[in-house]
Amino acid sequence: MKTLIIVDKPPYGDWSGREALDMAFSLAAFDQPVSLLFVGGGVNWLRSGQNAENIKQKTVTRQLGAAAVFGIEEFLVDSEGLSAYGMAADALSADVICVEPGPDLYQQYQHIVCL
Amino acid sequence: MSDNSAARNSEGFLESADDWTPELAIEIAAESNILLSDNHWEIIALLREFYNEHQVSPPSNRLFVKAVNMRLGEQKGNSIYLMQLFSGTPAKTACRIAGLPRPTNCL
Amino acid sequence: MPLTQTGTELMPVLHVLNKSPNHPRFGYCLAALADNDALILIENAVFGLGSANRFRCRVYALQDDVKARGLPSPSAGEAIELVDLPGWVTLTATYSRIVHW
Repeated sequence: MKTLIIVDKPPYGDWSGREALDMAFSLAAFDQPVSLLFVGGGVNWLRSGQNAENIKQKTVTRQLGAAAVFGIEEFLVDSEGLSAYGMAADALSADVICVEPGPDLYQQYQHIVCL
Repeated sequence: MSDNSAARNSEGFLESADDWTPELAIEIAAESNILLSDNHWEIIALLREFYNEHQVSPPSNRLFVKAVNMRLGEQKGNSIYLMQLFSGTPAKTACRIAGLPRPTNCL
Repeated sequence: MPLTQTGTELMPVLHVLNKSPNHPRFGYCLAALADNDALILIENAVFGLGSANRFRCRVYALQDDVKARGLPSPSAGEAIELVDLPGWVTLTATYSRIVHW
């Protein structure tokens, strides 16, 4: 059973992304294969150089770093979203696979969640 | 509690990981009848380092074991070893002593 | 000052926007800007900095929010000014009308 969790909103504005990450951690805790897909404004999760100390939040890239330790299989990122926000795939905070989200991609997963 | 009175929640976790001191760890451990040995301190240091880096507690026992396994290897990164050191729910007990927030997925 | 169709002066407005560019309200706010208004981007609205050069009015952005998200600071050539919290307070005192989007 492979699960894909989609993050489509930028970090820091609401809790949906963190809840998605919690869900991914829970799945990984039970050795369930899980991938994260960042689309649209969600690609900003992967921007390098974040430091949320002054807005009294936790820097999301540091939590994403833990995802790899916990066995979250891969980070996928929507290439269109990257170019919309002027981000280069090789300058991100984590190793990612660029994809074009669509039926071909979604077919590989039994469960797809977008909070 | 002594005058070392950092704010704690209803389950005894520190409200802020910044309030943690080694003295406080000894005190919190004593509440669970744990006398801290070098083996305990090794895990506590690992947890604090992990939290400083990722700003998140290992969310469950399994992931706690995984995190220890990745840094210290099989011999210490296994649930029997960690259960012997930290009775009850090892991730919760260890995070409480190390001053980390309560693991989110520990029931 | 620009005039309305009835000939009265438009009072400049400070628009405070905290929605990211993928939120519908980001577009509603842009559509509401007049030339002599000012716009301040805060919270997730700072993700719109990349396109802020095309906005028709004066643009400010909250520095802490820009830094938190790892966004590049606007270059000197861009007509965008980073402000800190006291700077934002000063802006709210400068404009008599304020819209929170």
